[in-house]
This record gives sequence, C-alpha cells and structure tokens, in this order.
Amino acid sequence: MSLSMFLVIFLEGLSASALLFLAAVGLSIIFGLMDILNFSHGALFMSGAYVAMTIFHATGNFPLAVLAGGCAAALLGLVMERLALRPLRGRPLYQAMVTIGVMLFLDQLVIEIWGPSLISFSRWGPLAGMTAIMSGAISNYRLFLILVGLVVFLLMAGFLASSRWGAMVRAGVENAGLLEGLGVNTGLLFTFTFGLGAFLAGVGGAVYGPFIRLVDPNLGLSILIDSFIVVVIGGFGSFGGTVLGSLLIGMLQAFIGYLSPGLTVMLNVVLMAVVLLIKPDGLMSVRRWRA
Amino acid sequence: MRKYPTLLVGGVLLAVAPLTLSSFVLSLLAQAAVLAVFAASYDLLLGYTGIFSFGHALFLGVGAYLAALFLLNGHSLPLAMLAAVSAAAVLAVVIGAVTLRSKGVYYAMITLAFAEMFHIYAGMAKVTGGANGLIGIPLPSFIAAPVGDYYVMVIFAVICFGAMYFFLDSPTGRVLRAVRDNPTRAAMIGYNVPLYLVIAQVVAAVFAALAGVFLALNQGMVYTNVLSSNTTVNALLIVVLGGIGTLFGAVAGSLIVVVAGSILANYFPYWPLILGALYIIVVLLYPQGLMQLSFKRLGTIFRSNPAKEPNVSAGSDEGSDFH
Repeated sequence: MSLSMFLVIFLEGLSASALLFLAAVGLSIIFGLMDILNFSHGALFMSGAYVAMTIFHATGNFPLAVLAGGCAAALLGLVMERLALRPLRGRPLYQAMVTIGVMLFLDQLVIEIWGPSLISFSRWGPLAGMTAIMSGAISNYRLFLILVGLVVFLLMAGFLASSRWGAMVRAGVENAGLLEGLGVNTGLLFTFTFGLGAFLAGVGGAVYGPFIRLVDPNLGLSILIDSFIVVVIGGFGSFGGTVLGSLLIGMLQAFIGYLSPGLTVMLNVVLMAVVLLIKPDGLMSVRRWRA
Repeated sequence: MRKYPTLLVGGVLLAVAPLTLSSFVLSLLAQAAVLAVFAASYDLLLGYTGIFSFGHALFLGVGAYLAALFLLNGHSLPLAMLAAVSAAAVLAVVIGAVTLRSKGVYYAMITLAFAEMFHIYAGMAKVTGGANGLIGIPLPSFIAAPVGDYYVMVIFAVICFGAMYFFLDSPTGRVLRAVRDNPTRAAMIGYNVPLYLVIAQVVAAVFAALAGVFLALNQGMVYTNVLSSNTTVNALLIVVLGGIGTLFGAVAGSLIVVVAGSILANYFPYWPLILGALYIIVVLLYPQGLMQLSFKRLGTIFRSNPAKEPNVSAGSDEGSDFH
C-alpha cells in the first residue's frame, strides 16, 4: 500500500467515522442520561434525510436543507419524548418498547409520504468534485463530512465541558435522582437532551443522504445497527467512548473494506463480541450511581 | 378443573373450523398458529425471564433455513427438526455466553447485531439461495392441501403451547420468574442466575426454531425476510398486543396481527401505520395487553407518573437488570 493510497483510505475512514459519530452521539447521550434505549434513533436519522432531500430539491440550498432535516427530527423527538416517553419515566423496558413502536410508525410514515422506492439525493454543487491527494484523490463530500463531524464534536465537547446545561447533563448521567434532589428540573433537561440528540440524528441523516446519493426507507435500520455497535464498543453514555467507537468502526470499515469488502459486517459484530467479553460495559464505561 | 370445559370447547371449535371457513381464512389461521408459537417463545424471554432480545428472528430463520435445506436434499422431516433444534440450541448457548456479563440493554443490541449478521449472510451466500431464498421445498403430501396445512399447524401449535405451559409451570420455570422479579434475591437464595438465563434462552431458541421449521412447511419457501429484524418486531407486536407475560396472549396477538391485519388492510389503506400507533397506545396504557382493556386508563397518558401496575411482569425497576 503506497503512502497516497494509505492517506486516501485514512481520510475515507475518517469520513465514515464522522458519519457514525453523528448517528451515534445522540443515542449514547440519551441512554446515558435517561436510561432510554432509543430504537427510533435510526428512524429519526432517516426522517432528517428525507426532509433534507425534499428541501434541497425544492430550494437547491443545501445548508438550509441540513438545518431543516435536523429541526424536523428534533421536533419529532420532542413530541415523542413528551407524549410517549415521559409517561413511562422510570420504566426503561417499556420506554424501549415504545421507541420500537415509534420506529415502526415513522418507517411506515416515510413510506406513506415518499413511497417505498429509492429517491436520488444529489450532492450540492460546491461539494461535488474531487480533491487530489498526492497521486490519489478523495471526493470533496468526504472532506465535508470530516469537517461536519469535527465541528459537531468540538461544539458538543465544549457544550458538555463548559456550559451550565452540559454540566447538568454530565451530572445527570452519573445520578439523575441526586440531580433532581439538588433542585434541577430534570424533566426539562431530559426533553432538551432528547431534542438535541434527535437534532444531531437529523443532521446526520441530512448529510448522509448525498453521501450515498439516495434515500430509502430501510436507511434507518442499517444506521441503527451501526450506531448500536459503536456505542456498545465505546460504552453507553460516554461521549469519549462514542468518539472512540466511531473511529474504530469507521477505520475498520475503510481498511478492511479495502482488503476484503465482504468481511466488514462480520468484523463489526466480531469486534463487538470481543470487546464485550473483555469489557462488558464498553471500552470507556461511565461510572454510574443509581439509587 | 374449570379449565377443562374451555379447553374442550376450544378444541372442538378448532377441529370443526375447516368445515365452515374458506381456504383463505384457513391459510391465515395456519400462519397465525405458527407465528403464535414464535411469539410465545419470545414471551418466554421478555415476559417470563425479563430478557429483552432484539434478534429472536435469528432462531426462527435458522429453523426455517435448515428445514428447507434438509428437505430439499431429500432428508426426512424429523431429521430436519432435529438439526434445527440442535443448531438453535448451540447458537443460543454461544450468544448467551457472550452476553452473560452484559446488562439487559446491551443484550438487545448484541442479539440484533448477531441476527443482522446472519440476515446479511443469508442474502449473499450460495447455500441459502442468496436474495432469492430457497423455493420449492418438497412438502409431505398431508401438508400440501389447505385443510391439511391448517390441521398440522394447529396441532403443532397446541403441542408447543402445552409444552411451554408445563415448562413455565415446572420448578425451572418458576426460578425464571424469580430471576425476572429480583435477580439479586434469586442469586442470594443460591440459584445460579446466569445458568438460568442461558436455559431460558436455549428453550426459547428451540421453540423459535421449531416454529421456523413449520413456517417453512407452511410457506413452502424460505426467504431472507425471515431473519430480518421486522420478524422480531412482529413477535414483539404480537406479544405486546396479546399481553406480556401471558403465554396464551400470543394467540390473541397473533390473530390480531395476522388474521385481522390481512382482512383490515383491505379496508384501511394505512393499516401498518394504524398498527404502529395501536402498539404505542397499548404499551403506554395497557401494558398487560388488549385483553385488559379498560377505558379508565385512557386518562393516565396525561399524568406524568402513572401508578404502577401491580402485576406488570417485565420492566419493574428492581426487577429488570436494565441499568
């Protein structure tokens, strides 16, 4: 493998990692804070992709489309949190089952609105070309994905590390009951966090569509499985773990996919099984205190 | 004792049903019977052991594919069943061993990943017929006609439900419920909790694989869809609608999803959407299934912390190992 080849594959892996990070970060934080395993996360991701596709085809304005995709998913997330999840607070198994219902509902809704077949989602003009890297080349869109992933990572890291709400989220991950005892309105915090997670999923979907150049109604499930693997490997509720998991899986997909494309699915699952046997709570598990 | 008249009436109704029903309805009933067994095996995990699996389709699929392969290669049905059951049991032990140390929520995701791996493999490999699946399974002559198919599936379901009932009523089955309600206490009393969790997974896998064998017989073909997560979601739908932790609720749930579903779908163009909404409402308001319909509970959705149901099997705070 030549150096330029290595660089191209490395950047491809980085762009795949960025997508995985966008898809998984909301899932991980929502579980960490609220104990909710959100099966509808992939469906929210897909809704973001479909809304962004519609807006982009109508206006030709891609940044607006991405924002709309994120907002649509956030809105769905907020409604879902208030109506379906809050009444079941403290009963994680039932909450997980309700999110499966929401997944079914959203998947079906997408089919009713946009039809069951694939719809193409072209790339925005400025992002369409290729960039030369030594003797190789990489598509501008992949570089854009790396940029988006990096920006979201920095914003989220800054938010969690140094804002008041970020501190409340971190405290809530460790012990939501104690946080409430200290006078924090955890209900509001939960709704906010769920909306934020859904927004990031929607943004992820909006930038994922042009990456594979299409949207289809099965998109949600495949993303859900990849996100699950990322957060299981990284450790649920751990922001750093999600970053690490995305990088591991993204790079693995790029490099193993280069050597033997059929192997990647198996390898993801095998990697997950190995991590679980060694560290059952993931690589960077969060120390949690539960009454 | 008063159970026997009900059982007798039910048995007679099932036996004479082919005299009055069209072959379309009979084929739906046969399919519902098989899916009821599959859903009930899922309920063994979800409702009776407190394990939340999202990859139960794996065992149905393994059963169906092995049955198809064995029959296509000229082997007998009992041999196919034996192969399906043993393969499912081995898989369940392996997955159980990997997940033993992982908490509840991880279990759902790991099982999903395993099932999806097989789903993708079945869509690519030559031995499973790839995306086309395995078609033209040579069926024993007594299954080929709709009436014969109906009787075979119903008798299969009755035997399986009987076996599951006695298993759950056995000392082992009672320990499973103790593990579900309070794993720490069960361990303190001296039960080997991980062992019992693996036992539950193996038993559930075996019944799911048997359902897979009969699904292959019922359909005459096997297609990758049987391994997809939609299949697991279907089982979850059936169990939730029928009532979690009520073994026979799976029969009612299966009738709603299969029979009512395919008839209502003709009248309501948005039936899948309605089914999804119905499922959400049932989980929110009637966690014990549609059999427990009561309109008093409709108000609880607008209260932030509804009172807990005394008998909800899975998901009580100290009961599930979900944290």
